[in-house]
Amino acid sequence: MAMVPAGAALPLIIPASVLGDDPKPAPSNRIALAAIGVGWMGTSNLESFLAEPDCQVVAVCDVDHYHAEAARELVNRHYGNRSCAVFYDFRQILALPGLDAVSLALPDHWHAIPAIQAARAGLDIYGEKPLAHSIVEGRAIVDAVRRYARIWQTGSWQRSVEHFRRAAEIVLNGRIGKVQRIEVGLPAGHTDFAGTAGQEQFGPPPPQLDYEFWLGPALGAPYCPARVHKNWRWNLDYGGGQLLDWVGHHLDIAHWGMGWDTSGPQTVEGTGEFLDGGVWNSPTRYRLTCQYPDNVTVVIAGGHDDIRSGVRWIGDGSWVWCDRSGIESHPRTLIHEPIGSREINLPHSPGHHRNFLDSVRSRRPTLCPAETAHHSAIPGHLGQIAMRLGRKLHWDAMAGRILGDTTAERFLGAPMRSPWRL
Amino acid sequence: MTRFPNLIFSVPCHSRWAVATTALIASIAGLLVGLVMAEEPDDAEAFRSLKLYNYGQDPTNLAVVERKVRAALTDPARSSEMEIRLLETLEAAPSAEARQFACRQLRLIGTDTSVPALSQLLIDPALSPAARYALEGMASPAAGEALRRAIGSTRGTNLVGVINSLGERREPVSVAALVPLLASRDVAVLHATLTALGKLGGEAAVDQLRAVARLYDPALAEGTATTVTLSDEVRARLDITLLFDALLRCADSFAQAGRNDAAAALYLRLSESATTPRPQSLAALAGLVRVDPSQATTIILKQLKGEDDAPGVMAAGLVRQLPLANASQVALALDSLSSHRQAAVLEALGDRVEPELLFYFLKSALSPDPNVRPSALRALGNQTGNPDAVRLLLGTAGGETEPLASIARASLDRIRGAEVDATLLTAVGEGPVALRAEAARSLAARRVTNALPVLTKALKDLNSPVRLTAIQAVGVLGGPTQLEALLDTLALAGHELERNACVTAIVAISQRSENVDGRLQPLLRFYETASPAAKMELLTVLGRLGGPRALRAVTAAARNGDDALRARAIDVLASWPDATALDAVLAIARETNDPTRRAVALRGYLRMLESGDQMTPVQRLEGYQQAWGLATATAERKLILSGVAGLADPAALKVAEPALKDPELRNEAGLAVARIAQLIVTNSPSLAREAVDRLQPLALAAPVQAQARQVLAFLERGEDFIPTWKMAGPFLQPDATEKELFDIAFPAEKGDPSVAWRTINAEDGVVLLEQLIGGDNRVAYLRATVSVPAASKAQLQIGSDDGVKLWLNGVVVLARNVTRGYLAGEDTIEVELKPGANILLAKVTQGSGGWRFGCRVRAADGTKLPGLRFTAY
Repeated sequence: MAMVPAGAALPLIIPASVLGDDPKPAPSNRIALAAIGVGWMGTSNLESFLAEPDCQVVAVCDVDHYHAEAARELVNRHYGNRSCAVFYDFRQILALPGLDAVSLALPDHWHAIPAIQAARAGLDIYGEKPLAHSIVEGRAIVDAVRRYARIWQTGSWQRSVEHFRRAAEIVLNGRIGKVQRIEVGLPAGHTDFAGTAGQEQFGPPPPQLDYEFWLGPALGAPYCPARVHKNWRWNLDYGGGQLLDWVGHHLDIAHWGMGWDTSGPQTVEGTGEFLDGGVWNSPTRYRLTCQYPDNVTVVIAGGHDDIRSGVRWIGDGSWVWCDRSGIESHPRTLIHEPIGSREINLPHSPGHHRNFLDSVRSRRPTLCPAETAHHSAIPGHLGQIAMRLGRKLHWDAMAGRILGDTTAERFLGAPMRSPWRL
Repeated sequence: MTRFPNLIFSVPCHSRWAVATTALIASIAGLLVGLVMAEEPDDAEAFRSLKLYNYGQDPTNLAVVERKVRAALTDPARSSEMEIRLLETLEAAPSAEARQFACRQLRLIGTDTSVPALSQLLIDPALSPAARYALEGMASPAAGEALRRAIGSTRGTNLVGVINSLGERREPVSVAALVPLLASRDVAVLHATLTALGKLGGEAAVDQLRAVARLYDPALAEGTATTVTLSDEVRARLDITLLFDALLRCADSFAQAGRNDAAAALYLRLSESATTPRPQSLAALAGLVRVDPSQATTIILKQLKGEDDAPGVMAAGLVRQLPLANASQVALALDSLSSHRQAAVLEALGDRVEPELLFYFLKSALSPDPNVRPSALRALGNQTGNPDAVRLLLGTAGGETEPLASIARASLDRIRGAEVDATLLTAVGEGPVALRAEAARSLAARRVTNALPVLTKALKDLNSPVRLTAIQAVGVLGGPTQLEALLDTLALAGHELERNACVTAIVAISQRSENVDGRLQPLLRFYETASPAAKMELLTVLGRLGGPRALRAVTAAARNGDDALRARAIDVLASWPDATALDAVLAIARETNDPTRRAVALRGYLRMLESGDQMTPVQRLEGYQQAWGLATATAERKLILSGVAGLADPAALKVAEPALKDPELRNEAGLAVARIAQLIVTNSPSLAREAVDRLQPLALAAPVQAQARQVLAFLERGEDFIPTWKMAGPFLQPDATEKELFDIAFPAEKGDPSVAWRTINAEDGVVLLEQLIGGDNRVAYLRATVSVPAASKAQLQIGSDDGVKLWLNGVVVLARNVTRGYLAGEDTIEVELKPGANILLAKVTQGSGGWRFGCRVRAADGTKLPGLRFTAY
């Protein structure tokens, strides 16, 4: 990789407070952003950034040439020019002069490497949840972001939705008293997002897809449609199933309401159901029980009717629940009670992508920094290990270690195929 | 299988295995596994199968081995047995796939016993990654030793992998093994080595890395005698960000180990070297902030005062992390910075709550510089304030233009401190009027309930702005005890703004009352003796609160009050918050002679009908029919037609259709008919078609015709589905998966005459197999003839849940072995139809969940195919 030119990588950035209301700042004052991974989620994020007038998308990248070309078209159509550069290797993007930030939306097994390299190149990063494919990779991202004083926003966008903020604020301000138990209901099964369920006959990859690059650090495996786009999540070499897809949303909100952005469980145990054979090997139904400090039990479940979808914090005879459909409480009036301006006021988001861009300018942490996302994902990762080994794990959240179980510790990280490394 | 946008709760029915974590459940699970194993291949068979495995073969036995390995975890003897069998696989399996699978299992269960076999694979390009997959995480020193030994025997990518694994293992002893690789002519090896040394850290690694750095800046190697030589070619290709990244990692390790001096020395060298790339230079400064903030502050100040923008802004961001003493140093230097830098520093400092910094925020908030003031005002909001801060914010909020006023207002509402509320309380009673009003507003925003006496007193203030804000504040903070004062204020209010504010405040307080019945008591009592003007406002209050008691009171006023009061009461009833006032307004519309009041009541009535989601469509239709009888103006009838247009009831046509005769209402009536037709088209397609057909001869406006065309298009969309089939099945084959069933030729597709076929009907074109025969993992066959008068190119639009194989006249024309939900026309194929009957045979597979099939026949261009006929066959 070529070195980032020392003088060109950082923009002239001044605090948002002095930007005024100019809806379309001069090019020299726009945040230059590149999108790496422009499939499904990546294109959605790309569209959000295109909608921000002080952001200029300058390049896109994907190992699937069709994705990359479609994204370039999207960008060029938006700006009415042909200026967007296209790449198929993210390392070329990171070497671009004048770049300020990257948006990463890749399969989980590709989260850590580009993120760490982007930090090393002095770029701010919008990355998807879960933060990483393993606890070791998550920690490596957190360390790199901290080491390079980068701004990081995780795509846990529920933090930018008013009723989730409200729910977390109610709990944080003690309106339901001492929280005893939290129920986090997540989806179950394997959702066939790409319509490739069962397409597991091995064969040559389509010419537009650089499949070897797509596999990257994962162990070698023959191509089949069910393994790749949109459905990679159901194979544990590349994703973490519904559990890891959603802990970055609902458990993240549960943590937010408890002020657990940098802490975690003491023990995790769980059961899961898996399909025999086949490419999709993530759990189809699962239930984790996590014991957190201060005697709080957190149940994370997918496919269990007694755990309602969303987050429910249960306190002393009262509770608050929320998911994407809304917010409820017992008693009902709880959610209407005003929170005073001098209580804990969680920040109102101007929009998740907007919040990232604001932080790029102000250097103020985003709503969901890397460390926060790491801790939201950890119970999910530990749950996977607990299910794999069939035993309770004891976790030292401060040290980031599993206690007294060297076999379990083997699964804190996933060795990478050479030449890839953290 | 039924597909949902985000969730699937039913999964294809393969067998499942479960693991549990508590000791009790684990033991039960062990028993269960034991039971399951009785039906499974034994170890020898399972591992024999594994040894012969190649990609593309049935992976079921791999799952068996995996299960056995997992089950062995709790039993050391069994675990050793499994390990030995896996090692045998490594040795004997001919395929890389089987051996890779064995490595995966050894990652879970491997011990020192596995290390020799795994280490042999490190030189194998196909299996080196899998071998490292097992070795890298093993806590055993033997695994590390094997990897270090492999340094001498591997090359290229395999060597890079070995180095990467050694870096991840973080064994200090690996440093010495890696050092010779710094002389490698393979730049990829060198890059890996630099990163690995960075991860390993410690003095020895740092020495080596600094020796490499000497080649770029001798100052970086000061104090170390170690030397490293790179060839010119390697040096030219070296990515120095990796070198500096490795040094930063070492410094981070020192800091983590509490060796702040060592860390600071390294950070400082990196920060000061002109060779250090900018990201690494900033990272070094960020590190220095953590371990030696004094040194860091000196550099930060230098960069803040420098002319280069980028480091300046980044430096301002780092101010956020400085300890207070150092942050104060930066604050002290604020005046010497450019206004943009001042603003950036104030933003960074302002996120912390530090009494020591308050002075700087106050000073900057008075700055004439328009860049600086907003940041300082924002910062003040996070602080523990004193009276000076409160007065400054109050003065800005009440005396400045936007956006400064809003920024100050937000900070005023947020600022903490025991003196803040007291200062605001005093401010309500004295000073300029705008500031007094601002103080009252802020007390409400801050939820200072003990301000209520002062605010209640301010309800009688001589100054209107103060009075108005006090009313609003009491509305926010007050309870039943403040109602009387507000009612008095309402009675005396001379200005509409104040009256409206009183109404809002009274409503807010009443709505907060837990006692829904009791909350009206004081209002009704007051109403008895209130002035006419106050009564008018109280009626509005009652209307906003709603409920049966309020309704009775307002209805009475609409009948018995004086003229103005009656008019207001009718207004209030017409705007009632729910449909409970329906009868009251209908009665008024019927009885009053005043055309204006009748119109108000009628419009209110229509509004309630439209929003009355508790009412059945029949009740609403009756309501519209009654309203039709009362309506006198064309506009009212248009309103009624607009309401009727939202009813999904064929009877609604009876209200709309007669109006087609009225030239003034024809288009509205036509639109209503078309919309009703659209709403009923699914359940009553023939009625919908008839209604739309009746519109055809009329000269209606283009939008009405467009609406009618939409209905016809919808009707046509449902046409030409094969409505009746012969069905055979279900057919099952034990142990076959849904996917395998697809290619099994059951008797029905082989023309076996013994197969029973029965006639079934599709519902809206869809054969609901799940209701007809149901079940999981099975197939059904459907047969019909498609007849056309002449040879035609046609389009078959197929939807299936799950897979489908389709024969036309004995030839397969579609094969989709998929698991999916039903979507009409998901597969569209072009076929040639011969004249007369064409035989269509469909095989529909089922995994679990939904099971459906539908086939529509159209001309090749998607239009209607003339002369088309279907028969179950």
